[in-house]
Amino acid sequence: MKKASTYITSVIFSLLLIFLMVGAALAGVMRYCALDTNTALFIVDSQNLAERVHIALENDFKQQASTTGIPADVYASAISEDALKPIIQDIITNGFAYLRGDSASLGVTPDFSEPEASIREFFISYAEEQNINQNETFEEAIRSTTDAAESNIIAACDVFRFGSLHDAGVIKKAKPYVPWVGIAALVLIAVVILFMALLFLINVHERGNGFYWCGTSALIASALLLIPSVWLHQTRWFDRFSVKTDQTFAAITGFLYTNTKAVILTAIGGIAAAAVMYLIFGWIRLRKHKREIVRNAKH
Amino acid sequence: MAEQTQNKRGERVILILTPLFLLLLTAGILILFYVLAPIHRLQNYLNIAFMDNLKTTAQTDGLNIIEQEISKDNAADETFEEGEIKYPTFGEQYAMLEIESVGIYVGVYYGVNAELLERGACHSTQSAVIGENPGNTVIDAHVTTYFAELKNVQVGDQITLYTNYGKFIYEVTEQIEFDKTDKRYLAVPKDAEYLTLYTCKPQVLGSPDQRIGVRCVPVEKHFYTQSSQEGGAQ
Repeated sequence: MKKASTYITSVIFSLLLIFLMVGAALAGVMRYCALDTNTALFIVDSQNLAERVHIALENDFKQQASTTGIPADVYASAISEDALKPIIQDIITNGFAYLRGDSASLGVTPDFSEPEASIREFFISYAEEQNINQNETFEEAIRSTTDAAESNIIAACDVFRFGSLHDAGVIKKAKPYVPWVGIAALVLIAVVILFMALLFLINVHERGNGFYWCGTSALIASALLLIPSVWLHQTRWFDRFSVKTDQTFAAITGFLYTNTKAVILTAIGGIAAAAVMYLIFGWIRLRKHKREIVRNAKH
Repeated sequence: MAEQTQNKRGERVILILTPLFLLLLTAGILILFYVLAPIHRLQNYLNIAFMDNLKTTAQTDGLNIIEQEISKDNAADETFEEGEIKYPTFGEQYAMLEIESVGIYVGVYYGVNAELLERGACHSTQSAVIGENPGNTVIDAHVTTYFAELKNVQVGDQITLYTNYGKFIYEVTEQIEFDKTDKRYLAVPKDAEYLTLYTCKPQVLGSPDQRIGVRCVPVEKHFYTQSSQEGGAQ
């Protein structure tokens, strides 16, 4: 750090590099974790969402039994956890595809033949017991009940509430920006590499100092990411999430904690990279110091 | 030689202090950004999505239901036509609803979900709180339980809502029937105050698409505490 001008220039570039590294890390996590369908699909298994949806639907149909007169068993026998899991996965896959612009609509058309058959069977058996005329009104009642049951099932399986977000206009507002996240991540990574190269260039006369400055930027950027992420994770801050429907709460908080862990891992990677750069810097300085000692001894 | 050693010591101090200096600079920039940047809107959305008073532990994940005794008689001698409203939280049983003509007397919970509908009548959080003017207070309940007799309420009947901040008496002005997708009776009026009670239209089997109920207007308001901005006792 012999020249003040070199030092000050390095401080400025290093400061800018810190923010670029934070931006690149967050954009990278967003593109390759948050907006990756596989992350959300992982949550389906890790949070047992199929089981939660099944319990929620059973409770809903039990409570509706007093108003509809249809026993919950009519629905429960036709919708198993194994039948619900692919519906949940389809809705998630389609939701993310819609967000990325790969799908034209949010709607999914699962196979409801089993619940439909079960409802129809119940209605017909009830009509025969009560001598009810199976006319157009009767068919309309079956259709309306089947539609309501299907809507209930799809709404319960929409664990990330893509439908509600779409109705509230949130998805429409977010869609234009989603493709730019990947581009932003790549651009930021490229600029980070450029700034690191510039720091080496600025310190070309002091071999090894480039590693010191880049390592310092990586260390501070990692600390900026690590400290708040660890705090969010350890205090279970996302448990304040205001939607308390079991499956949605589990899906959203599970998703947020998974992404927080991704940020923590990225920050740990940054700290490891910083440590390696400091080690290289230390090794270069040590070699230089030994050469000076030998030179001084000769003179 | 001594000068060289001193220079090297100086360099080492700079090497150690520089990361701290950069950290302070970064922290300063972040604080400046937080103060100057218009992030209050983002904060509002975050506050709505992650409410402090909804923090739950693993054991209490889910709805916090608060039951409370609502007295029909206020101990205070004095009541006011305008006064202070104590806003409830989601899951709080904050009122009692009485319709003497048909024998309905039921607790009113703030918020609507399957669990609360099992316990009593539910007040839609998207509607006005009891006593708010202008506003439309919307309360619904199951037709098979608490609102079984709602279909027998007539125009002119009185409905009383007791809360821990006041007693509110309404008169039925209209019997209503609408499709579940029709929002006109649930809409917020610009310059009027209503109470809307509704339930499912009973049918033999299946999920009813029709709703029935009553639309009411306030006739008496008895706030127990005067609003700090309003004056005048009753």
